[in-house]
Amino acid sequence: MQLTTLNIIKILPIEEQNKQELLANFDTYSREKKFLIEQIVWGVYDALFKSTLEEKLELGRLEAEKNNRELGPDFYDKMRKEAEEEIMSQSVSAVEKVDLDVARQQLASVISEENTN
Amino acid sequence: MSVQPFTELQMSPPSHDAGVQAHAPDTGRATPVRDGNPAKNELRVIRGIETKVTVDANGNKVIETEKTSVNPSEVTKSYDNFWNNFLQQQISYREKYPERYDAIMAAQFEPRVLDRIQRMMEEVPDEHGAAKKWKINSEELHKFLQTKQGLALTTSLVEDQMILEAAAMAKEQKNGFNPAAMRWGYRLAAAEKMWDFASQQQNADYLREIWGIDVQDVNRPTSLIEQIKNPAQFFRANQVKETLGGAAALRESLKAAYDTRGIYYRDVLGYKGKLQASPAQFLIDYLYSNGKATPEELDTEFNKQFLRQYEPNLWGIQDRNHNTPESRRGVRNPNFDRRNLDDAGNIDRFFEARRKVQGEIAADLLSQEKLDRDAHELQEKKHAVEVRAAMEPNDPSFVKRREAAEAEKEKLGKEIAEISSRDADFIEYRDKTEAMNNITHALRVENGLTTIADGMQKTDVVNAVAAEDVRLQTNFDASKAALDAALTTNVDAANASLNTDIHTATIRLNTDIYTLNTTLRGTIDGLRTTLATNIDAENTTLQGAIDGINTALADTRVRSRGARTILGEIQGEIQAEKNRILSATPGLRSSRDEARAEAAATAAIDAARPGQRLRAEQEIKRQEARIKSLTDAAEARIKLLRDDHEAHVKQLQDNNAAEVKKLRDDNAAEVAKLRADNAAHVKKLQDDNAAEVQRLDSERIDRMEKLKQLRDEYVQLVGDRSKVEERLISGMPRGELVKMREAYDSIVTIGSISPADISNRTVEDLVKSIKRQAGTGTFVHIPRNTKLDQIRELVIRAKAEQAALDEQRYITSPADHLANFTAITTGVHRGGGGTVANPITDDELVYLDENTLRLRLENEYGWDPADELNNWQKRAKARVEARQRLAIRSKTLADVTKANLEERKKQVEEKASKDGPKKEAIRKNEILKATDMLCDEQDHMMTESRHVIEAIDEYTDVRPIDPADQTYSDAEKKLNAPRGYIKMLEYFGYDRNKSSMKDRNDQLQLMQRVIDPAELANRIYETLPQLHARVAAGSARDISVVLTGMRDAVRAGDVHDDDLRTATRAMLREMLDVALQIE
Repeated sequence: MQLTTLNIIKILPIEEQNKQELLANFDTYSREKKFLIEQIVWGVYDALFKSTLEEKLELGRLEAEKNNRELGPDFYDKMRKEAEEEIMSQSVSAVEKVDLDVARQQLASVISEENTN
Repeated sequence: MSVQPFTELQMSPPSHDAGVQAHAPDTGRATPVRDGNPAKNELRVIRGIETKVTVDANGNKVIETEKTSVNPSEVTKSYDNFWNNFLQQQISYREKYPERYDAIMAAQFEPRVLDRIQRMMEEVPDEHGAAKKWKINSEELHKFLQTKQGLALTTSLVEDQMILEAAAMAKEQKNGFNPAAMRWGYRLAAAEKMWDFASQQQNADYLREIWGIDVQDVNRPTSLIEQIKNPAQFFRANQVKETLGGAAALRESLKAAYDTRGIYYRDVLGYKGKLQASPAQFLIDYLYSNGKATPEELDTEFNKQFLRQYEPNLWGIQDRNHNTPESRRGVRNPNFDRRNLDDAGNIDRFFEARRKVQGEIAADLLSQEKLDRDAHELQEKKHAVEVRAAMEPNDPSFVKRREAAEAEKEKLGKEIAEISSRDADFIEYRDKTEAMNNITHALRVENGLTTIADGMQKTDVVNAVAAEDVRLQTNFDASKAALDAALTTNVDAANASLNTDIHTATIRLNTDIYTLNTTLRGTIDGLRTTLATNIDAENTTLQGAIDGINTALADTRVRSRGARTILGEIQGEIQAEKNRILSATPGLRSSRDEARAEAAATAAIDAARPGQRLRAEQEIKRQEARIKSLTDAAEARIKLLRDDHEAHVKQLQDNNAAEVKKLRDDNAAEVAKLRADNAAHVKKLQDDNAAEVQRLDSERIDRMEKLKQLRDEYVQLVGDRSKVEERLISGMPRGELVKMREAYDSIVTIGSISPADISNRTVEDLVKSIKRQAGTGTFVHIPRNTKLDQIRELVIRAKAEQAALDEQRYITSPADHLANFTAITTGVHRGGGGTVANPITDDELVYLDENTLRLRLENEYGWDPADELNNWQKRAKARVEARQRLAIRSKTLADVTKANLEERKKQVEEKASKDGPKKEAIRKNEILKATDMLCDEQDHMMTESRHVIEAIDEYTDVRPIDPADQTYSDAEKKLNAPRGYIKMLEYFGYDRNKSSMKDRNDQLQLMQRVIDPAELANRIYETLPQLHARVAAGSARDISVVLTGMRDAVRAGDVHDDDLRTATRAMLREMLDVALQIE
């Protein structure tokens, strides 16, 4: 999954309704609004990533400590990779879920429109 | 709205959360014993990577350690520095307080570690063999650092040191506030942050549990200064404070410690990212970055929300199953670790809370209402820029106005330049005048020529100097005569004194000789008396002896009568016999008869006294011989006495003669000396006199030379200044002096504008003011319809006249200059009968030729032609004054005119500048356009960030662009930037594949508005603090240096794609802020 503003919106822990609105109307927003959203969205994503990474680091070190295991010079890189993979896998599933919701919503909208017509 | 960062800091985690603190490296340190509470006295548990902790049957923790082979050289080196500092401190303390040392150490370290530390210090004998000195045992230290225990303990101590820094500051201030101790600033910050840190419950717990510093019973000082003043209240861990060395040493060890900790995490643990701050790490990070680079701020919105999610006071300290540290009262929950913190559970809860807060903040920020509001605000600001830019007209009136203003400025500028071109003359005139005044001052004050005045004519100065020459010569002659007379008197006195001295010496000589002779005579007389006495004694003795002998010879009383008696008797008997014989034959008898009778008598007696007569005679002869012998001896002795006497007398006489001679010689020498001294004295008197005469003469000559030099310089200056004066005067229109005086009268005297106002207010201000009052009040004499230019002329002249009057106050002109000037220009008739009908004006005094002026004065003023010499001098003095006044006014008029031109030019500029911002707005608009263009590419940048990191060599390629490389446009090549810069522009949205070169160039040109090579370099440097250790601040605008630093940082793992994204977003916000700031 490629990281884009829209994909990140899909995985953010924000209200579903707002998420759907952002996703549906993003392209129609003014350049200013888009800029602000991008700032927030990417900022949140990076913060979440850092949280995940730091948690990995702490837990990894604790685990090594308890098991009397050496961490080694590649410890940080390994933890970083794990954090990326974890956030990515969570993201993929979240994105899929959101995409599905959006598809459902769009379908419902189409049906509604057809019914109206 | 502000597009101030709304995410980066808030999205960062808090600094002092218990979950993270729970993972500081382990040590072998014991909780200090402070209050006897067994729980608090419990040894701190070793939890280093290499340690195992178990609990024995009695509930005591048992520590086991393992050695490992991990020993990165860099770490060892850094640790080595740290330990050397640490141990040196220990040794210092140990030597200073030997009685306390063991107790302090025992309170801080468990026995095992203490033993290890002790082994790293060894006691060495002094020169007498007594073990007194301590030194670091390097071998033990290095051995210790081979172990992970050593590394872990070091890291722990490092953190200790950081915490203790705050305490050190408190201790350092114990005896009062010491400004010098504040020079690094961070000490104060340390105290403040330490308290802030301890003010949170979980942090206070941390301090108490880990460091044994209990802040619960410490009253928080009311102010920061109070903290400084009352450090004892701030930290009560006395044993901790007492082990601290000097603050400077501690600071140094802290620096080493900070590095050490970083190396430990990075190289040993491979922890390359930004360290999650432990309390100590937070402190030191904050302090050493001057408070700028705090990873997490206290009291932020995020922190508050985080605490709401992760509230220790609400939930308490729980394990992963939300159980408390005690399973029941007094019984410990075995799930808890030795610090009563369930690490994994708390880590989970911590990050869960953090992500939750991040989500909440994101939700708030992404609410449609807030987004719309912020976007609208942003649009409004942009619109304002665009509107202002749009107002920049192409409309003809604006252009015409601007052109007219430019023309006016140019015209005024030329006029100013023209006036300024005379500045050199004014300066020269001023300099020459000052130089002249310096000379007149020197003549008057330093040389006593009291008749000299500033501005005097050169002939007056020449005459004054000549008069001084005569005066000095006269004075000299008088002085010389006086000196000569004094010399004569002094020489006479000296000679008289000499004679007296010689006379005195002669008398003294004679007296001395007389005394000597008298003494000699006395002595000789004495000797003679002695001699006579001695001779008498000798004679007496001799006579006695002779008398004795004679007596003996004649003595009849002795049995054996004296020979002389016997002989006498015999001779008597012989005589009697003879007489008898002769009687027998009377008549005359012959001598033969006599002799026969004598012989017959003798024979008869001899026969009667056989042998008696012969014996008597022999006896007598013998005694006489004896007497003679005595007499000879006595005479010899007397002769000896006489000889000695004579010799003695002669000696005395010789000595006396020598003494007399010496006296005479001394006298002669003394007299000679007196004469010589007198001669020398007289010569000195003569020499001194000559020298003094010479000195006076030289002084006179020198003074005259100086005076003549000053005179000549003055004459030269007068000549030079006259030339400048001539130029200045010639630049003044005829009649200007009169006009200025009239203008002054009109504005000041009649118009009642005060001299202060005319001096201080600007021309334009006065013009406006007078224009308003024209035709009324004190300005009734100026018609209402008088043009501004005319009023301006009046004002300029009046101001110049005022300035001239002010300036003249400080010029000390000879009184007769002004007197003659005034008399002529006011038309005073010689006869004293009032004034002439048409007085000669100031200007005429300057410009009229000599003959015309003379005739007018004779004809109109009644000056007497017969007194022409005097008249000529009066005319000359008046002319000098007039010329000087004109020259001064020439300058003041130029000054005022120039100031007015500059004032008007400034007004034109100000007026023009009111239209100026529109031009600036256009520039701002272009910056805004460029920034907008970049902001539109933000999503592209975010997406591309990973690619930049992956292809960092390409994006940071500092090689120059090959001129022959056709893939680069000419515009790109002209930038003279490295290839990496162009590549970095692509990251910012530069499309090198645009359909037309014009579009490509336009985009490049627009980007140059905001991120030209230097600007981009600076922005990267500012937003990526990881570069600061690699790029010197002075090179922050050097794109090649910055790109190289960035490449190195990425390669070292210090910068990742998320760092680049964070930096990029900050960069865009900053650029947008700048673009929207329009004055």
